[in-house]
Amino acid sequence: MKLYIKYDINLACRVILQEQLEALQIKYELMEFGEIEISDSVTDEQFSLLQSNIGRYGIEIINNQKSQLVQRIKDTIIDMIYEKDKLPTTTISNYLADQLNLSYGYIANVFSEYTYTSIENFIIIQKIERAKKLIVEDGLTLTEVSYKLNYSSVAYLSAQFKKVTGLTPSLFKRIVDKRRELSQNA
Amino acid sequence: MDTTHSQMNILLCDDDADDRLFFKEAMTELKVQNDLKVFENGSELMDYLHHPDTLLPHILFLDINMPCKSGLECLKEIREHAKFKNLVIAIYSTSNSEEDIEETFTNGANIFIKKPSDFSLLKKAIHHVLNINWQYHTDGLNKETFFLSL
Amino acid sequence: MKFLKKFNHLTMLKIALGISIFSIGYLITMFYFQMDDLKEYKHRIVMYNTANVNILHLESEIERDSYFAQTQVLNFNLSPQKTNLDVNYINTFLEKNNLLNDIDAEVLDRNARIKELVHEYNNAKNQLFTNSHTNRAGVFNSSVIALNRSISNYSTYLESQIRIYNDNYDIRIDNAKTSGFLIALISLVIFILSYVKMNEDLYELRKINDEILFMNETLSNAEMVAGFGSWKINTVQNKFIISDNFYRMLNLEPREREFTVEEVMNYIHPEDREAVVKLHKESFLNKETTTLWYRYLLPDGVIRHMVSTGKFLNNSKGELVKIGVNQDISELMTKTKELEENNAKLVSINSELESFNNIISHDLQEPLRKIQMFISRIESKEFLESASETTVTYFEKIKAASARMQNLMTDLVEYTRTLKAGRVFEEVDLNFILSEIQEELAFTTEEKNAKITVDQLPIISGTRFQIQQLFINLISNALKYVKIGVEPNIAVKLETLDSDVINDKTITGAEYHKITITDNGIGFEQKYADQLFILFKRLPTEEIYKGTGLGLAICKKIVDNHKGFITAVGFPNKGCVFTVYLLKKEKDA
Repeated sequence: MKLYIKYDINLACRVILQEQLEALQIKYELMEFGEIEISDSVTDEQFSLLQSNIGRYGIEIINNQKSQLVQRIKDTIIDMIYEKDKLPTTTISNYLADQLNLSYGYIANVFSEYTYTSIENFIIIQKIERAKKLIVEDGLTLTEVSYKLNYSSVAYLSAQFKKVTGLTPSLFKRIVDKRRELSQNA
Repeated sequence: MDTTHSQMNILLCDDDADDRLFFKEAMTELKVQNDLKVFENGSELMDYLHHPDTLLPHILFLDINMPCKSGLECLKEIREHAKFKNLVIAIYSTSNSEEDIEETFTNGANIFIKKPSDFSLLKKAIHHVLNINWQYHTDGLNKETFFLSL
Repeated sequence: MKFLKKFNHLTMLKIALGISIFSIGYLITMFYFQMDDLKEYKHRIVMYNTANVNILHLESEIERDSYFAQTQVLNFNLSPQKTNLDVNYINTFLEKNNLLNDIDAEVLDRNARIKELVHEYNNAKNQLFTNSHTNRAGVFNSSVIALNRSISNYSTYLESQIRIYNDNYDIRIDNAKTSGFLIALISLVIFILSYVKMNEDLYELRKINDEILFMNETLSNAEMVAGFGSWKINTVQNKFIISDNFYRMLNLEPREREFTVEEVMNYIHPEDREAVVKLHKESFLNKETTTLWYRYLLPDGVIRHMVSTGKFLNNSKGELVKIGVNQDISELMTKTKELEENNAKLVSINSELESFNNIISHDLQEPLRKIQMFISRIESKEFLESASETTVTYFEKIKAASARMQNLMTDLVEYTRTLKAGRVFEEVDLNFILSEIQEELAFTTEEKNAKITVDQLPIISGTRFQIQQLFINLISNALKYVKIGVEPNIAVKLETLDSDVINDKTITGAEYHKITITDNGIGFEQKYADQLFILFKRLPTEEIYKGTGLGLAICKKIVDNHKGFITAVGFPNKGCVFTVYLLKKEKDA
């Protein structure tokens, strides 16, 4: 007899991880692309148990200081861009160095080593993401957005927006509006 | 590409043999470890996507002007299915008229690439798309408003 | 005013006539009653007269009788024939007078009194003969006197009555005379008024008749000019009348001969005849208006296209009449046909243009792009490192040529896009367009450190993408032809416009917006100003300013499409001013 099976690797992995984490009573949240957010502290014993248990399924825990630092850098940047009503006026390199208590050179090196993109690039993408949100959800004008995100001029914001998305802010807004209309009608 | 992350499944659907060749060469030169599957027309692509054994791809590069089943038709059909919700669709077209950009974006495309007339630009574009796509996946950016026009 | 006067006149006439007729009726009634009264009075006078004669007769009888009696007594003839006044005889008299009772109660009383007195008289007379009473003569005398007095009174009364009625009769006769005269007079007035009214009506009628004649003549001329003929079918009298021009449309002299409906129907083209006859007959059943298109085939083979409308009416006699108009639309048909053919040609030319546009934008660009891709492959694969210098030079030339061709094709696509011009005009806010363009060009602006200032601009009506293209081209031009080492300064201004003259045409601020785009670039010599907007004309500029010669031609085309104007003024090495005149948005249009 021959059985033909169909499986979803992604789902299988997620189920295994869920079972194992629950067995060790670790509070967690599964993120996409192989990330697990651990909300409590984990004892060394729990950690090594988890490592060996999931190792049997060919799942490895990648854990080191540097990748954790990258996550902290990202968190700091996102927090700076999204949570603050207005971006700090100091340079971002100073801000990051202050917040993480490390030299900016070291931060930037680790970041690009692990993400294959520069901090500056990451910041630009995040800022444009935020700009999108402000334009679409809060209905702000370009002048208001450029003030909030510390752009020197509307032209500069437009230029950067176009460089990142390939679209002018107004075309971008038109497309989002049309999409919404379409999904509402559907 | 970052080898610590699972490799991406990438699809290309283009009826033009030269363009398929350029794309493959670009991917090879970028030395990315990715699985690229190539289709010559829309029906072939849709058959593959609907097949039960098919692994959900991460990115689809889709030409618009194709005989029989156009890219736009494929786009609309794909976006009707919930299971392809997270599939990033990159339009890969000779035209870059605002009408085409608007129409494909409104119908659910995420990226619009005008086929470049320079090979290095093609490499750059593919690299940028894979990179930014990865970023959108890992950094929890809002996919609702994820458009990119190159 | 005239109408009002006429109206008053006619109304007055009518009122006068009414009053006259009313008064004549009244007078005739009066006259009748007056005549009736006269008859009555005459009757009474006769009656009273007769009564008076009777009474006088009675008086003389009594006189004779009393005299006879007295004579006898005096002669002592006492063997009298006792001649008594015959009571019956007197009664007959009085009976006659009693006829007057109906009209006069007084007479009855007097009659009774006379009767009584006659009775007393007879008694007194008898005593005179039979009795030797001493005073018998006195009694007799007094009775005679009483009777005579009474009779005399009676007579006097009757005479007075006769007089009264005579007087009344006279008055009535006078009245009747007056009435008669008035009747005659008013009849005359009525006659005169009627005559005047009739005359008036006749005049109006004549005027209307004149107008009808005039209108008929006009209609006849109009029919000739406009190429239509009219006809009338009287269903009761079975008459068929056609207008003069109808004859002409059949190539006949007006009123050359009489026609029946069937005879005219024979002129209809055999292919159309059956249907027309059928519809014509059907129309008589439901009395509905008909509109028919058909052809006449004239004996000489000429075909005339007709549109014929027929309508049912009732004439003043209540007879059913079908009237209609036939219009000769042959010329119109020929023209329409020509127009249709031209339109079809235009449509095919347009679709050819469309496909030509598609050819440039896709089919031609594709192989070019491939060429360029392969050029870049050759470059990246280090083929050139081992190639000869000539090969490298040639290769560079191929590369430059293909790049130039690509620019040309991009602009050409834009240009043909303005040719087919979607004529759907919408409201276009220029402020919005300009801010979009600034976003669009932000990169170049930033790169060249250019400064763009834009006035508050109006809303116009136009095709959005074309207006956008127009300003993109003008501002890109300003960003392109910059002086080296000078930061570009571009100003878009809304100028006040009183009136400017362009190509002998006066442009006024009431109709147009005047918008200028000023830069501080390389400018041009004014003698080239006219060539700027010509397709593929490039001004002699330095090699570094690469243009296709299409950008401004596109601008011109777009402005033309919007019924506007564009002019340019150049100052070599200082800059230039492009002025665009765009139609103001039509209000409520």
